[in-house]
Amino acid sequence: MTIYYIREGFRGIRRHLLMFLGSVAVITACLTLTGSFALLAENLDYNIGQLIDENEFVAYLEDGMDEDEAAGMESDILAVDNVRDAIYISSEQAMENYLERLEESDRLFADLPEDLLPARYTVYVENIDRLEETSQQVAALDGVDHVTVSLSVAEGFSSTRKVVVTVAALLLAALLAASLLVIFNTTRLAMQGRMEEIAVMKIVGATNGFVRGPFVVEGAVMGLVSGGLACALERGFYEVFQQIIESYQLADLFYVIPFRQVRTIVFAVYLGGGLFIGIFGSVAAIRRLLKV
Amino acid sequence: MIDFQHVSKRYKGAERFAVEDATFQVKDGEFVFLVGPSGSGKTTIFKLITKEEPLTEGSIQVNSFDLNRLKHRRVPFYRRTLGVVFQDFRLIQTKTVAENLAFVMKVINIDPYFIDDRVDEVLNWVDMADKKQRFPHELSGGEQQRVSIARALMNRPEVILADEPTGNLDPELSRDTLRLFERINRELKTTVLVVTHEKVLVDEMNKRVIYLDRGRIVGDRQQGTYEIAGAKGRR
Ligand SMILES: Nc1ncnc2c1ncn2[C@@H]1O[C@H](COP(=O)(O)OP(=O)(O)OP(=O)(O)O)[C@@H](O)[C@H]1O
Ligand SMILES: [Mg+2]
Repeated sequence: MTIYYIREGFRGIRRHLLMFLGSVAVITACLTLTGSFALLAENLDYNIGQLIDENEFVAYLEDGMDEDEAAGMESDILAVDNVRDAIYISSEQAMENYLERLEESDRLFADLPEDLLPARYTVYVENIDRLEETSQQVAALDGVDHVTVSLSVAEGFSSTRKVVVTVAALLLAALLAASLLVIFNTTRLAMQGRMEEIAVMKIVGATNGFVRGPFVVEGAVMGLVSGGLACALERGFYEVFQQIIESYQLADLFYVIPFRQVRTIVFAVYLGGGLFIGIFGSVAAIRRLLKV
Repeated sequence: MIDFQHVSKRYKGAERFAVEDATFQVKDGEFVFLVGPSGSGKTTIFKLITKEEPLTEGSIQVNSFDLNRLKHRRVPFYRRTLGVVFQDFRLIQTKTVAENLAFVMKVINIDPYFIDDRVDEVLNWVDMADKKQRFPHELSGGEQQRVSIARALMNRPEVILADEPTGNLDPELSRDTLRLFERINRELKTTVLVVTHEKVLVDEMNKRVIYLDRGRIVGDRQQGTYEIAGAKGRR
């Protein structure tokens, strides 16, 4: 019985091979497009996550504060709403850190006065969305000279991500609908060519499942082939994307999640999505016909 | 047995009844002609029997099936007890004669092992064994109709329904075709219902005739003729 469905399903595909290939092309494009945007969003998410971990700001203390006074600022800073932690870095410490970061050859600064750099606090916040606001409050404290916040990169990514996610969601809806429509129509056309056969089947007592079987197989194969092609395409696209990032020397700024890590989920979603679209679309197409 | 009790049928959106308050019984092994002017409801009665159309009022019992209570899922199994023959044969053009016959067994899941023998048996019975490998378009109208009758016999139906089976055939072939139904009825003990406009043949075959007019049963004669008036006048 299952063999019958499969044989009839493939016979149907052969009978209208061009239509089948056209549908596969459309569904593959839909899957790949949606998936690519989802992957881009995922990558942006990952990078934003990285940046956000580093999100903190530095509060520079006013000049001429003595060590005790400076250390005493900690409780004032911690008292500000949304501040999670504040780490004191003394003038000398700051210089040490600075020098550590210099290359050997740049040691000409080595004999700078120890108290050249102001003492500061590295302040960590609870809620990243209020970073700006919190930093302003800390800046307003007595004894704090100014603060520096490096938000711009994170914000850039964040707004890009918003766009990408919105586009991905819209695409998902639109392209899912398009894919279903393509399968629906293909099944309808395939059916039209076999109306006389179906009428005979129904009148001699074939069950609905039996009439449906070959069309569902056809739809499922269409979905699976599309899913498979989308997998292959995505793999290629991803590599190209990775190479572009690398060739522009953006790799430090933007970490591309290795394809290995997303491969399983991408393949599962493409094949599963294709299968779902194929079966659902074809079943919907023959539903009305089976009413009688 | 086919048992119609006060059956009415109105198609969706139609003003008048296509069949109205029809009550009749056909016993197992009977041969019945269903006659009446165009639009009198003959095809509708067949569609009610095959459950292609739901009835509006009344009840229909066919063999052990009460069609009002028959679940949608069970309809295919009920239909396997019927054999249906159409005016336009409805053979599948891309399949050979043998494949057309095998098809109706295949689609109800019969083991292929039994199919070939049954195809040969039935083709022999309707005397078409030599045309087994032909395609429908390579056959005459009469031959095509014989194949479609053979197909209706494949699953050993208890009832054969034939809707104007001779409508596309010339008079000589029409006689052969109706004789074939008579033979099916006599030798296979199959209940046969035939809708026809063949006045001469109905008159000469002396079978039970049910008369329909505008959806109503207006006569039912055991050895009837095509014209109801004639039937009255004779007896
Ligand atoms: N699907 C339908 N929808 C609405 N009305 C229908 C439908 N099928 C048939 N009818 C109407 O029902 C009535 C009976 O039609 P039916 O086909 O049963 O007649 P018939 O006796 O078979 O006629 P004919 O000898 O021309 O085949 C007619 O008035 C017809 O117009
Ligand atoms: Mg009719």
